Amino acid sequence: MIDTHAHRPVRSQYEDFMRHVYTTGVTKTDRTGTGTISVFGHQMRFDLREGFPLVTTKKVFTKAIIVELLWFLRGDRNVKWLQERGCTIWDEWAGPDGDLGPVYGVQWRSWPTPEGGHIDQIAEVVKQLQTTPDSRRIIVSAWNVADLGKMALMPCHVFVTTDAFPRAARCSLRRKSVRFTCGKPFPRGHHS
Amino acid sequence: MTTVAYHPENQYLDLIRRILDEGVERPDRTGTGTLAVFGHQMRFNLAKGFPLLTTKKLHYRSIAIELLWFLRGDTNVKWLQENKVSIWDEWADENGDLGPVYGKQWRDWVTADGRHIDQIAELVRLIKKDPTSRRQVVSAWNVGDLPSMKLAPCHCLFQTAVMGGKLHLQLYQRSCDVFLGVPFNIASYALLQILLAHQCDLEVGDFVWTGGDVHIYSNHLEQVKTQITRTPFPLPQLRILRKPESIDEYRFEDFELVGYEAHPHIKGAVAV
Repeated sequence: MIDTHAHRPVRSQYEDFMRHVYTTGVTKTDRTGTGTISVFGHQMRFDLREGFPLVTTKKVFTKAIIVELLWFLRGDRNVKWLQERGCTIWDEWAGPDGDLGPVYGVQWRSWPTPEGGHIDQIAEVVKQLQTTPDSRRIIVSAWNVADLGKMALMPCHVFVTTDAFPRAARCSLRRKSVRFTCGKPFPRGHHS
Repeated sequence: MTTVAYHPENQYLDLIRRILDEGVERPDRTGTGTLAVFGHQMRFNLAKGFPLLTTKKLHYRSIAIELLWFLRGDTNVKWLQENKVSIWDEWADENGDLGPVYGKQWRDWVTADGRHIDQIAELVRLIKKDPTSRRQVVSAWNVGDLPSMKLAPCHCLFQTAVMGGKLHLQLYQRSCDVFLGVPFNIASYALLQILLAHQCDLEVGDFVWTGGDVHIYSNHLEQVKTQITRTPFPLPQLRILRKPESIDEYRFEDFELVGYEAHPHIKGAVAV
């Protein structure tokens, strides 16, 4: 059997995207004071049947990706659980007690409603995929306008939609702010 | 060798072709049936023309009135009907109410602790005071209010950005009726982008349209097959005649559509 992995094209969407930003981007200042080159609007597509989209042109700390996702799914908002598992990627934004405010995990698992209830968006997605797979409303949003002011960092990966086309689940992730070399390779691996 | 001149509307026609070629048959909430693809993006440079489709004559007035209705924060069809726009009638209850749909979420997102947030005013403030902000986002997807809405938002979330002195806008649309809805949505958000740029003294940049479940209803297939045989005319221009004090004070008479030449309208039934 031929090992097709050895014959994958060198160029890939992520690296092409990086070239696109580098060659056509506009110089732009930013919140952190560092300065960026930026483009607006881009889309990439990864067929997960072809493999797990983990960037290979630079070694990525896979364990941190997985631990962070499990932390989101716990509905957790404190860095302690991450730190106990050797993951420090959120430390810079945490308060003295490790709290980050109502970030992704809280909005995914426990979106507060004005009536005092909470909505578990992830459980709702699973239920919809199982019971109404043709639904066009299988969505998770982290952009809770009410809570933005309380978050240590506003959501970058804002909105996930999932569709179940015949026998396959497809997922679209909407990111408001994308940072190359450090931030980008993570969320692509996450939402798979 | 024949050179085909680039026309932005070709992106829309190519989207139709993509769905006809690769689309999967899929039942849907309305019971009509669709051909669908997942995930698509189009880009329109608004400096090159107003992206009102020319391969089918569109009722531009309804598009503009509906946008003004959103900006009013209105969620009742009465004002639309008074202005001779009936596009929301099928979903309204006996009082004309639609629940807390777009206008409500854009202008009056209610928090669990009783605050009221005007996302549009906040967006204008950010564009003016913090143009490099990457948080210029407006969401209609208020998870807590979804059950009360007569129709869950299709155009869920949009983001603006200022780069090189130009205002860009990207829309994320979760569910996209390519024949009937998408032409409206493109023009609607392009107009919104023009108004935002106008208020903030910026040039217009790109309007980026991103769709999730992008589909053609089964009872629109003959219509789209007709439409893709048509060659687009040059795009019209949209001029703003008056600059009010705020984004809230535009009127339909402030907009002038110039040079709109289009092929005949094609009828199609809306799936409710």
